Amino acid sequence: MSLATAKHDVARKRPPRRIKARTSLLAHGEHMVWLTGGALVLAFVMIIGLLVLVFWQGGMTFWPKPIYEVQDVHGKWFLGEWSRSESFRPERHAFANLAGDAAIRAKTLVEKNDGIARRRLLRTGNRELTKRPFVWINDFEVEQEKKPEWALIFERVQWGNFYGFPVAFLVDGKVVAEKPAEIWEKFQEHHDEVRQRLEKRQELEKDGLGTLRKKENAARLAVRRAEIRFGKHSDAFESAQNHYRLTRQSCEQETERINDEIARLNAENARFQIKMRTAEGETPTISLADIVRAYPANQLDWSDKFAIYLSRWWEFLSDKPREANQEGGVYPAIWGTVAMTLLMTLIVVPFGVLAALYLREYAKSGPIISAVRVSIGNLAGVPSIVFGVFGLGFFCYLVGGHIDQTFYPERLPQPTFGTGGWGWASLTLALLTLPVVIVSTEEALAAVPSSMREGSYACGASKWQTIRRIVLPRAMPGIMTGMILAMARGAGEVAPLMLVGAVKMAPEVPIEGEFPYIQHSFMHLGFHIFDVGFQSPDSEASRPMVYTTTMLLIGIVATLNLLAIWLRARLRRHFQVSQF
Amino acid sequence: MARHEVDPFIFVCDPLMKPPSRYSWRRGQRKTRWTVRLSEIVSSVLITSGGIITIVAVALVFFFLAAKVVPLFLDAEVTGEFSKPQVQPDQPPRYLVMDEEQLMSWMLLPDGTLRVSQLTTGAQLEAKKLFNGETMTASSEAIYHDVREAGTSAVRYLEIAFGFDDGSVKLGRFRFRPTFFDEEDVTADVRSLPAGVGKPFQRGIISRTPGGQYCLSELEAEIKPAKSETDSPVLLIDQSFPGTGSSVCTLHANGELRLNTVIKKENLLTLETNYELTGEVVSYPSTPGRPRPDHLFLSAEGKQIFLLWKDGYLLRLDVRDPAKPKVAETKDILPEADAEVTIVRHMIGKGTFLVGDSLGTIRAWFLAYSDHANTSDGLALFNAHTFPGDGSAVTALTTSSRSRMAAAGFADGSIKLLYVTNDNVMLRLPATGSPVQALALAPKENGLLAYDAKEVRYWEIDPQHPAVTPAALFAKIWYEGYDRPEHVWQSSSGTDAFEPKFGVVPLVFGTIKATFYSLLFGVPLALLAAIYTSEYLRPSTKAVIKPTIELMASLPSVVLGFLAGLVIAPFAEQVLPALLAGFLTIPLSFLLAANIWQLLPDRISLALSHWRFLFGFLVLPIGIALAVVTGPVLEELLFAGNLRTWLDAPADAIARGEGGSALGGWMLLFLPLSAIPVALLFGRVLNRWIRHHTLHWSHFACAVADLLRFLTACAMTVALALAVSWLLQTCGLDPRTLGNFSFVGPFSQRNALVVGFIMGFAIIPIIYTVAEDALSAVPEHLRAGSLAAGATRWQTAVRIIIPTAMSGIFSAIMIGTGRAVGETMIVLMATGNTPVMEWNIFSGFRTLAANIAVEMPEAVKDSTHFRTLVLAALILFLMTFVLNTIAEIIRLRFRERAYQL
Repeated sequence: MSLATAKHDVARKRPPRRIKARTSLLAHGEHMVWLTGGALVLAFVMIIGLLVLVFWQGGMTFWPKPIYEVQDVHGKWFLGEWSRSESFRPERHAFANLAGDAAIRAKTLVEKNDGIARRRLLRTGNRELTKRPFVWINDFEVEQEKKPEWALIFERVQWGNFYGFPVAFLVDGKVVAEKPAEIWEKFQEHHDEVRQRLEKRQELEKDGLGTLRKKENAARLAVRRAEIRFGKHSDAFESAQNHYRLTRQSCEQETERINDEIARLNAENARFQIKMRTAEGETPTISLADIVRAYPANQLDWSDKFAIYLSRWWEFLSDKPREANQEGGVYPAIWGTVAMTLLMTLIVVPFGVLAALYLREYAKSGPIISAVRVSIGNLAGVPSIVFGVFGLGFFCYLVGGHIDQTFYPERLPQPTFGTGGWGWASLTLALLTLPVVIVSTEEALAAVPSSMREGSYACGASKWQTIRRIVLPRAMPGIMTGMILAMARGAGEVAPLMLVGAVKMAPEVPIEGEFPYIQHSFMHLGFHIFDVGFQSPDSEASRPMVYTTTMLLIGIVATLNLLAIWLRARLRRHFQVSQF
Repeated sequence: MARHEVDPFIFVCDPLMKPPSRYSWRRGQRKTRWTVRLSEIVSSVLITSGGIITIVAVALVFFFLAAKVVPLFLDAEVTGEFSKPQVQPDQPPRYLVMDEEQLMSWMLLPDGTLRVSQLTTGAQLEAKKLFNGETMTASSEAIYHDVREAGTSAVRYLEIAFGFDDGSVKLGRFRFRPTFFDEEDVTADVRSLPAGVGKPFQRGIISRTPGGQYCLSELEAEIKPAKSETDSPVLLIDQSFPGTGSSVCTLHANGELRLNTVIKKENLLTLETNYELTGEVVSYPSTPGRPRPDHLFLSAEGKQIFLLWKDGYLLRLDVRDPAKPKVAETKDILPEADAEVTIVRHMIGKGTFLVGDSLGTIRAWFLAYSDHANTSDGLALFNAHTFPGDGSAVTALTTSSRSRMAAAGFADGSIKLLYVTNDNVMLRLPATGSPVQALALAPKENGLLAYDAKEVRYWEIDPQHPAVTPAALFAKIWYEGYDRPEHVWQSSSGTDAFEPKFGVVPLVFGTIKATFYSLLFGVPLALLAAIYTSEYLRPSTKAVIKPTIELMASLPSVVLGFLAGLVIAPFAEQVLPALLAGFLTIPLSFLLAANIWQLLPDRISLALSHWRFLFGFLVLPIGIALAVVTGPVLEELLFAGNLRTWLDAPADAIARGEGGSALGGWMLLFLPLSAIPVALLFGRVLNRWIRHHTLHWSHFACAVADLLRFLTACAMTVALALAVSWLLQTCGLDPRTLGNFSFVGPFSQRNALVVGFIMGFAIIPIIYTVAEDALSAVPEHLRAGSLAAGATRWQTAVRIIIPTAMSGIFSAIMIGTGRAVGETMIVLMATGNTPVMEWNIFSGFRTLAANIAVEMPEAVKDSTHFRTLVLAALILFLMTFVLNTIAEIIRLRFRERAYQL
């Protein structure tokens, strides 16, 4: 055996050890890593994009935009604000009704842009005159576009916005000013007092007439109650009827007096009018009392714009809706949302904490309690509409029906409690959010170290003393978290409310109604979004309103949630410190 | 305070330490104070009872819903009955009618005598001859007709047309007219009446209403003579009320069949109103061996005349143009040779007619448009329902004035209560031996009156909810106007004659469709994102990203619904090709980015790896831009230039080959699907080979090889998809013509694609959070061990972390499914809410939850509709509860396993 073969032999038996320089590229799964990363990026961008969209649109709604006067190739004039634009691919026949050279110009314009044209939506308002408050205008059809100095926007009580040029200011039907600047001066001079008189009138209508109506109604119901309780031939019935007669008489007198007062205010307001000219050349006369806000949009500087922006926000937050909820404010809806959420919280927290304390501290743990616990957790996943059905069937129809029969027989068949209302909605949502409170309270209770409990017992404290002095204070942040999460869920929930009492328009906030207040139906921000966005006659005009309402609702819910997240983080830190 | 608690503790722990000087050595009080004892008892009672009450309240949700649903499935029952001997056994009543409160009834005898009597006592209130001296030879079926005079609410009359031996016709109109009195106006004995009990008063019956008033109910019978154009005796007659007018069809002894319109003429001088019949003689073919038809009826719109012979031979005349009648259809409606038609009655709305025969079988027939009808008007007669008999002939038949209920009396004296829509025999009343002569159903369907030769029998009935049976809910039902049994949900309509359709299958289907498409989009995204978050994201970035996505879970669904319906749906419609292309280009661009990343030298990629996540934000816009560019190109290549026209192409155009090729549609499906076998091929077979051969290559060479590998895989995927699509296309299959099972079809703006996308927003955060928690909960030592043993991060993730956390991930999917199933507002706002059953991703649907939200506010309390909606809620409850329970059990098991590891 030669050395060479021996060497070869050795080499064959023990191949030279090579140290692998690296792991195979495939082992890193770079593709999948990027895919997972991409999913995260996409999810994150989607969510942020959604929020940005809502906040951008909602934030911009009230910013005053300039007014443009646009002439199209047919020679027609339009006046209004650009609302939004989109690109589209015009069909051949889009150019068919254009005149010769205009068609050629339009075609070349579009072809230069790869066959894609832009069209813009002009909000032209003046709904009572044109019946078309929005007009799509193709860019290739625009002859000229300018920003007239004296174009005015009126936000009106009725019929939506008005766009036009001032022609004359009338007092008692006589022209007192004809130059735009003078008219605007006169307008500003008189508008405030007109608005004040209008407010006074509304006050009279609501407080004066409304109260009288309520009084009369109460007297009428008293008669009916006496009839049901004592029969038609009783003294109680007689006296109730007499009282009703007297009340009606006094109410009628009072009503007449208030009506006179209202008529006087109206007559005073009707003196001031402004004559306008629209882009189409019509010259309507508009009463100053109909105008909520007016401004010459093209003369505003930044500070003016900002002032209008703020005043619109203030109106939005503090006023009632007008024009089938498309304009005005959402104050009743904010009130309804907040009040319902608070009432719900008042109901759900005590019961949720009681149930959690029972489950964690008092009940003997066993299979039944585990099953109950799992079931309660699962209830959080039961669709909210199911709770709505329960609320309608159980609270409104069953419980409410019995309350009506027992306490309000005189109003039947008109239901008092037997229909959706503020109280029932709160109760329904309380039931819906109960699992959230129970689960988080239980978690908080479980997180209190048993050593602390044992220490307390060892010091001679009773069970209740231990719970009250040791366990509950430690669990407080957890309970608060549960409460806030419940509030956030309750504030954003709409589906069950559609069944148990949210309405599109409530004449007054519940607390202004009759005792005990909770039977009244109410407005809700979420339902407002649904209603205005999907059931309003003019979806284009209502869209900005929906965005702002959405922004408000997201704001409320997100604030509550962030609060909960922050509290939970604090709670965790707290425990990490306290356990050792 | 805290310090005081700590001091004695230190003292115990450290015996060497001297007691603090302020320690008094006084012995503590041994006895517990009574306040402490009391508060102990009070708190324990309060907490226990409060807790149990709360838990019971929560359980109440389920039990209440169940209790509301149970009556749906109860059988009708008799709650009271009485009988009394028959007064005039010789004359069986031709018509028998009860009033709404079931206090009185009237009947019309063949000789024209109208007799009104109190129901309970049989006391006669009124009896008169309706026709003086004339001989009634024919009378039509009684039909309910609502007459609406200006400014008043509709009044419902029972209308009957009578024919006489002189060829003339009289139009009869009957109703119970209520007159209301106040308490002062009635006598004391009336005032003492208990509610629901009547007392004869003048010609009618007076009773107390629930509102405290007194109501006198009298029969109002109005007979209007109408001149006819012939004097041949009327043999058969029927009338209908098409639109606002009235048509009368008569068959005369001379063989003339006349279709007349009733014309009202007012004499201005005498102020009298006269009625005249004018019309055409309708010619019909004579049939040998059959002398004269035995039954005649006119369709509700007066467009068809049915002539029916005893032996079951039916002739349908199409008289849309009465001058030119056509024989639309002839049919033998009795298959049994020895059977004879004994009675024919229409259901409300005159759409369906019931035929009773001598063998006791009752069949329901109606007209429906059918593709296979070889008739002049495209309609065909269908025998939708059959109630088999037991040998004794049907002798009396009556139908309800408000629903599809009917009562049938038989020759042996037995009576059946039927609900026609769902072939439901609600009630069987035993035989008495004496044939039933006439039947009357109370207008509220809660009473039944039967006359036979011996006695008058009355039953008080609780019909419960006959329209809903398990079959009606979950099986195909043959509804009026349909040419075959189908699943339909349609709970309400404008007309009284409407047949409610309570098939919940389309709603369940809609729910499943919504869930499926949203999971298809949401689950992969959420799981992949969760894996990246737990395995690759730096803790500082994670602290920002995770709460943001969690915050999303609490975004009100009404907001998502609004955005879906008003923003995303119109937008998606505009950019549809780009959107579809995006599903390919966005993942592709990330995969390509991975390849480019690999091409970077080790040093640089290692240094940059901290920012890998941020590079994703650069890649995403590239993917989107790619989609925008390739979308129109793909549209041009695959969908004949316009995706929308391609989708909306009508079936006959596709059959003619004008709707564009089917290739594009199949590619849509098979491009993602064929990626799976290609990925498997590479994963199982080729990668091992590549790994083996590239072992000694440089990093760059490996990366280039990998890029080639990736491109090859892409090419193979496209080739495979093309091959399969081409194969299917050559087989003549087009995804648009596959009907309800196809995934593409006509486009509607608010569709499953939009819902799937936006519902993704609702379920991604939940799945993401739960799955990420599960992945993070995998014990750290497992991860450390794997990395220490030389596995890469990815290998660790795939081989160690994901299998361990699998049950947690599964439960995340279950919880997400639960949320998708019950989501209401998004579906309500982002779909058209049409209860159709097709898998088409571009069409809408209606889910259980959205259906409840839409219909519940209008449903009458405790009606069949209301209870069916509660049933829908219960189904939802059970579906989500079961899903969540499974998820919870799996999660608990996972937690146990994680602790053990």
